[in-house]
Order: sequence, then structure tokens, then C-alpha cells
Amino acid sequence: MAEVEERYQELSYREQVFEEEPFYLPVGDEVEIFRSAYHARIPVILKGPTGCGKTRFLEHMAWLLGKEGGFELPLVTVACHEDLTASDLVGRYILQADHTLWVDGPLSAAVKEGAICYLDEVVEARKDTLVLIHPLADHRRLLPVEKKGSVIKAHPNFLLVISYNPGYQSLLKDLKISTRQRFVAIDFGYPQLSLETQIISQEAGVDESVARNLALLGERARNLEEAGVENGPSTRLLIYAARLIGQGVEPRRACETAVVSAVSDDPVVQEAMRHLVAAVFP
Amino acid sequence: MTSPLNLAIYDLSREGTLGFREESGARLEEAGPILALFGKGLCAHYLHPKSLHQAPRFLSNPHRVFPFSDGRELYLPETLDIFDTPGENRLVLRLYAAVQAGQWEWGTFQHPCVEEIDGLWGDASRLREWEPLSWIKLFLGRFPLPGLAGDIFITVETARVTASLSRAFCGLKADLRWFLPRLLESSYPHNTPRGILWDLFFALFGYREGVSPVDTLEEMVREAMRVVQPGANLKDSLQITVALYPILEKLLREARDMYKSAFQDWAHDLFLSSLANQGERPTSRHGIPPQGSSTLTIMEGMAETLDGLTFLEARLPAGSGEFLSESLKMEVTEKRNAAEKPTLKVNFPADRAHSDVFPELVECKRFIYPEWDYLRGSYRRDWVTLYQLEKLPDEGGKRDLLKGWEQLVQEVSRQFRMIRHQERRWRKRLEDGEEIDLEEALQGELERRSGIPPSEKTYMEKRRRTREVSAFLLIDLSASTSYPIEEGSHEGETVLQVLLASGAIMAQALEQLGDRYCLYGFSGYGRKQVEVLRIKSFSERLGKEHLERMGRIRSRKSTRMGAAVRHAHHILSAEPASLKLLMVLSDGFPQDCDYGDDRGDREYGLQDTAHALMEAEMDGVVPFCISVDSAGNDYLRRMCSARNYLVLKSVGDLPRQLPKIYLRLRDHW
Ligand SMILES: Nc1ncnc2c1ncn2[C@@H]1O[C@H](COP(=O)(O)OP(=O)(O)OP(=O)(O)O)[C@@H](O)[C@H]1O
Ligand SMILES: [Mg+2]
Repeated sequence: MAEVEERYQELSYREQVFEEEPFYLPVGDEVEIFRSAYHARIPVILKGPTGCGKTRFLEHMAWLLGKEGGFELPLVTVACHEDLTASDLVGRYILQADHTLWVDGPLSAAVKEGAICYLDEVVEARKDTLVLIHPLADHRRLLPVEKKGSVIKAHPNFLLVISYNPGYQSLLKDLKISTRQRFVAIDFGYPQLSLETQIISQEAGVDESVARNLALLGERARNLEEAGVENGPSTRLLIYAARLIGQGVEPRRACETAVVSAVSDDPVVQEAMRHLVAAVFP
Repeated sequence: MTSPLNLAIYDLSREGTLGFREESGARLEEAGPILALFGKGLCAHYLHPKSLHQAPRFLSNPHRVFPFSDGRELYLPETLDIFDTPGENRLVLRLYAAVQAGQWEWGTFQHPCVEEIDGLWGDASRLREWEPLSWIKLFLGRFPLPGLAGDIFITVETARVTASLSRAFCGLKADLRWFLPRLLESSYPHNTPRGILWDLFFALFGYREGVSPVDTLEEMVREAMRVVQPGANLKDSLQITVALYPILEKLLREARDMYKSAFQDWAHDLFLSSLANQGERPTSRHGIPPQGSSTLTIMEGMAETLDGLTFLEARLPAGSGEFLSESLKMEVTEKRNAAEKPTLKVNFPADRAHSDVFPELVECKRFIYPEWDYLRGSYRRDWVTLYQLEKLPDEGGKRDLLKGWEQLVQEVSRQFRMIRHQERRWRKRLEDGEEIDLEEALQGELERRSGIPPSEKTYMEKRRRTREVSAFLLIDLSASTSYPIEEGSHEGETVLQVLLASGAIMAQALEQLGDRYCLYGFSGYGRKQVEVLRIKSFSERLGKEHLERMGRIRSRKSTRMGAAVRHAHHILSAEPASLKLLMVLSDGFPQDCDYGDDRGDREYGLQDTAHALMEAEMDGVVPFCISVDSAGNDYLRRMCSARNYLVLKSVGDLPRQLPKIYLRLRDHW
């Protein structure tokens, strides 16, 4: 039985408690805003392109707020996808040999034990999940458990956080106003050159000049976003490239695999990106 | 003044097609779009790739180390096949693109504010016809020999930009280290101002193999050195131009007979003359200025004026039109929030004043739309007048549009009919529904018995997947569509015939599918007269008369695509469907006589169209552009995101592809 539960957890969510400080370099006043939101128990939307540090920011905040409050504040992360249903979040009965057993979903678990529950890319989830979010995200802080005919009152430490990439894909799959207006929004963009340099060098353990060149490449490649490239390279990709370089891979080669190919399949764009790489790395 | 390598780049660029080595050489055709994107990445501005030989001589000639961009174009060799490896040829192209793009990054196109220089140096009002180099031209026009001043300025400014690039980009620095010595190698000895400027450029980068008279060069290097130091700006380049000018002019005067023709050149450079001749220049325009002393006085005056100027990063603000300001942009968003139409006025019947000019437009609905002006970064308010016609004034004779396509019509109609039926089949794996899906239920039971949480999606339902679609087909009727097709089974037919045939085939198929759709064509001439022709509205059912009318349509005038897209968006916004598709079929670039300040400025139309598409997209419309222009990739890429466009190399493919694209879009969204 334990085995079943474990597999179930592995597949659908991740719960983490942070003992050590996850590295996060603030880009603006997001730390202060989030802290205030948490103290007022106002749910938060993190908006921003992929790989710009949203997840890392939350990990950091879970650690920081837990430390400041003197309690354990776990982070429960659920990656939402098209097939994710309300029961996937709340929980369901499973049958044992001759009886049924209730298994909490990640959202119920987080609500009960007082965690930060992070629904990543929430627009991807099926519409019925939003029904759950509404009573949980306003002053009621209640999670309806339809299958059991009950509601759970959220633990005082609980906070709901969702993320949302306001890019191209979501234009049609937009959040409803009634959902959106239950949250305060923190906007994330890619960090500016000097910050991104620090992040890359810290995360990949490469020296300042390599990190700076990669950050410069990222900054310039993102200029192509209006010109047919859907997403420029994310901080995450730049860190990958830096790690490859740290492993001794030649810089242009590292960028080819981590950046050029990852960003676009269009040969013209790829070739333009190669020139950018060549402009940055001799 | 130049070197064998530089001459080779210029000359071979023209003739190099003979014996061109495909493995190592580079052609502008392929490299152009790539380097333009590269430049855009580097400096956030898009420059249009052009051949070196299309550039004004003043900006690009073999005496220059690098060509100089006018802020809109990127000058590149037509072919480059000088070095043995592709990497080396690419390197040279990369440097060419980087240096020109770098002009934007490092402020070549900055300018003082108009008020500051108005009256000071002639009539600054002409600057409002905005053009990146217009201020520089005005400045150079103040010199007795504008061409000479231009040569000095471009040399110094190019050195400044090159030095800045090399400081910022390690890769480019290495490229320069490789290229510059090769370029300098065995330079032709030439003791002229151009020769000295060539040497000056290299001397500023520490290469001293020049052949210029040593004293003069030393003196000039001393004056100009600060331009390659960190922090040098446009003003430094201008001041240095003022400082170097008398030195070279003196040299010229000392040997005036030798340089007679050069004088002509420098006094009358065509590129500069537009502005230069207008100003009351202090000396005679026909040759050598009378005395050195007058030059010095002028230079002193210019230096003083320069000192007092502040340069602005931004472009000249107000322009010829009336522009939508920040506040109006807000208005647009507010309105959108309130789920209202975008800014738009509908006036009809058309006002009488207009009817004299375009009599055929009197009885049709008139719409006013804004237009996006990328140079000012704002909308031009109420800029475009669009007429929606029900009928074209000069329709041609009858013609069977679908001739030769009969089989395709049948095929596609059958396919669409089938899809309609399929959409009525069982939908499975539902959590709730009309009936239990036995297969799934069994599977669930199996899972349950083996201790795995079973799927709960065991219901099914037979309900039409009610995908409400409204599709808008917008067809380009511009003059260029009258070109005949040169190959394939439809050789000899015009592009327009195929565009219309595609529309007709789609229409018939959509009738089978039951989706709502409409067909419009667009063209026009100038901003006061954009025409949109209604071929079939959303509410009409397709009839024989529609097909007949389509058969009579002939190619019209220009392509002001932005306005047409806004109109389509407007019509779509009245549709209740959950999926609104806007498919634009065209054969080329958005273009109109006054689409942008000068006709050659493709950027304006492109940016406006991109904006119009974006406005629609923000409003939940899914735009999709199909171009049958084989060069289309280059600009569609910049108007829509990769998922929203398709370029067909051959027009004849369109009728077959269009239904497929439609189904894909319909499914996907
Ligand atoms: N401000 C920052 N401080 C520290 N690390 C950062 C920061 N921004 C980005 N990173 C780094 O970038 C990587 C990617 O960030 P993260 O996984 O948080 O992105 P994300 O926004 O959650 O992306 P996605 O939307 O794809 O989930 C992190 O692993 C981290 O190394
Ligand atoms: Mg994440």
C-alpha cells in the first residue's frame, strides 16, 4: 500500500521542505511584495516567461517565510496539464482488497498541513479545477471535497500561488476575470544583464566573464522575440550553457546545443543566433 | 585609400557569380535575411539587407573600411567568395552587419532637439521629414565641401562604433583582429584625403603600416584618438570632424590642380545635396573655397554651436500627422476591457466632399481606422479611410474560376462533410456523461484489482462537439496579383485567379462543414481610399452568384494590409463564435503609396500590419497569414509568430493547402 501511495506522489506532485537557503537573487521588490501578501494571506499569481526564476523564487520564499515565522513551510508544486482534474487535486477513493481508502490530492494535503501550494501553468488545467480555487482563494479559504461531501478549512499557514505565462499560447486560454481578480500579481521578466550575470555565475559556478557573455547573448537574442522567435533563451538555458562550458565544452559548441537549437527550429533564425553566439564568444 | 581585399569585396561582389563556389561562398539572397535578424538581435533595430551597389556611393564605396548604414538599410556584398572557408566569409559578413547595426546601439542616429537648432543652421523644419541621417546631412551641409566633411565624419564615426563593438563583444573583437590586418595588407599608396582617412582608421586601431604623410597623419590621430576611447559619443565624432576638416582641406588646397575632380565630387555629392544645397552655405558651391581663413572661422562657429547642443536618444517626436498619444492608447485598452469595439468610427453614407474624388465610393460604408507608426512608436489617429464595397466599379467579364480544380473541389467537400459527421461520434473518457463506456469501465476494474488508482473517466457521450467557428478569409486583390504563374498545371493563370479559386474551394467546403465564414478582398490606393470588397458576408449562404462575382474580380491597386486587417477584426468582433479565424491570403509585402513616409520604406507597412494582427490576436482572433510570394518568409516572419504564417513557394499549391491549414487551425485552437 505504501508503495502505491509513493508512486502516486511521484507522478502528480512534489512536496519540499527547505532546510538550506535556495539561492535567489531579487530582481525588484518581489520579495517584499510576496512577504506582505503572505502575511495578509492573499493568494499570488506569478506571471512571466519560462525559466525566469518563478519556481526558484517560491522555493526561496517558502524557506524565508518559514524561517521568519519559526515554522516549517513546505512547498507543494503541481504542474498543471490538460488532463488534470479536480479529483487529481483534491483526492479520491481507491479500492483496497475489501474496503475503500481515501487518498488526499496535493491541494488537500497542502491545505491541511499549511503549505504553499503552487499550481504551475494553471491555465492548462481543466476548467473544473478553477471551481476549487475560487472558495480557496477568497476570504473563505475553504476547499470543497465533493466526493466526501465535506469542506476543508485551510490551515492558517496555507497559501495558494499560481503561475501563468502571459505569452502567446495563453491568449485564448486566458484566465477568467473572476479568477484573476482573486490574486495579486507579481510580474517576472528575465533579469537585467548584471543580475543575470551574477545568477549564471553563481548557479553554474563559472567565472564572471563567461557568465557575462552568456547574459549578453541572452539579452541580445531576446531582441529577436518580435522577429519571429517565440521565446528568447531563458535564464535556465543560459545556465545550462554555462554548466556545459564549466564541464570543458567549447563555448560556441555549448551555446549551439543549449541555446541555438533549443530556441528555434527555423534555420534562418538558428543561423542568426549562431552569428550572435559568434559575436559574443571568440 | 583602399586595398586589394577591399576592392575585391566590392568588385567580386558584383561579378563573383561567375565561378562562385557554393561550398564556401555566401550570397546576399540567403545571408541577407539571416544577417538582418542578427543585426536586429544586436541592436534591436531591423535593417533591410541591400547590396553594396544599391547603397548611395556616399555611404558605401571601396574607399571605406566598412559601409555606413543610413539607419534603415544594411549594406552587404551580393556575393562573398574571397576566403576559402565558409567560416571566414561568414565572418566578414558578420562584421559588416555588426558595424552597421552598431550604429544604432552607439547612437549614430541621435540628434539635437529641433528647437535647439532651428534657425541656427538653416531651416530645421525639413528635419521633420524624419530620416535617421537627416540631421547629420544638415550638419555636413554646413561645410564648404560637404562631401569631404562626410568622408571624415563617416571614417571617425565608423571607428567609434567599431571600437565600441569590439569592447562589448569579445567574439567581434576577435573577428576584427582577424579581418583588419588583412584588409590593410598592401594598401594602395595614395596621398589624398581619402588615403589619409583610410590610414587614419587603421592608425586609430593601432595599425601603423599606412602610407600617408607622417606629420599630417600624426596630427590627425592626435585629434581623433578619443573617439575610440570608452565613453566617446556622437558629439565627439562631430567635433573631431570639425577639427580634422581644415587639415584635409588645406592639403587639398595645396595641390588643388591635382584634385579638381575630387572637388567636384566633394562639393556635389548627390546624397548630401538634398540638404546641402538648400542652406546658405558660406562659400561658393563651385569648387575650391577662397581662403583658408574663412574655413577656420566657420569651423570655430560650428565647434561652438556643437558644444551647446544636447543630443537626444529618441527620434524626432511630433510628425506630420496627428498621433494617438499615450492617453488614447489607454482608451483603446479600456474599451477593449469593456468588450467594446476598438477605436473606430462608422460614417455613412460617405460624405459628399469625398465623392468628387472617388465617385464610385459614394454609396458605400466608410470606416476610419488608426495606423501604427513605428517611427514615433504611436498610433496615427483616424488615419485611414476605408470603404467597404459591395461591388467593384470595373469588374471584368465572366470567367470560370474553378476550371481545372473540379476534382479538388469534390475531394475537399467530401472530406469536410466527413468531418462534420465525425464530430457527431462518441466522445470518450469523460468523468460524467450519458452512458458508461464499458471498455474504460473494465479497464478501471482491472486497475482497481491490481491496486492502482483507477481512472474515473469511464463515461461517454454522443454530442456534437460544438465548436463555434467564424472564419474570415481576406484576399489580396493588389496589382501584383495580376502576374501570370510561370510553371505547373496552371501556368498562364494569374496569381489572383488562384487566390480566388482557393477562396471559392474553401467556401464550398465550409458549406459542407457548417462553419460560419465570410470572404472579403482588399486593395486601394493611399490612406484615404482603402477598399475592402465584400464577396460573401457571414450571414449569406454561398450561392452561384457569389462564385460568378468572384470570377469577375480583377487585380486592383496597392496593399495597405494593416487597415484591411483592422476591418476584418472589426467585423469579427461582432461574431459570437469561440474560435475566430482570420486568414489572410496575399502575394507579397504590405505596400501602398503613402504607407510610410517614403515609398521604399517597407518597414512602416510591415510594422503597421504586425500591429493590426496583434490587436486582433489580443482580442481573441486567431490570425493566419498565407503568402504565395517565394520571398515571403523574410517579412511574414516579422509580422506574425511562427505558428501564424505559412509561405508557399508555388501559388498552385494554395488551393490544396488551404483546406488543410484550415482544419489544422480549427483543431488546434
Ligand atoms: N533571480 C534568480 N535568482 C536565482 N536563480 C535564478 C533567478 N532567476 C532564474 N534563476 C535560475 O533560473 C533557473 C530557472 O528558473 P525557474 O525554474 O525558477 O523558472 P520558472 O520561471 O519556474 O520556469 P517555468 O515557467 O518553466 O517553470 C533556476 O533554476 C535558477 O537557477
Ligand atoms: Mg517553474
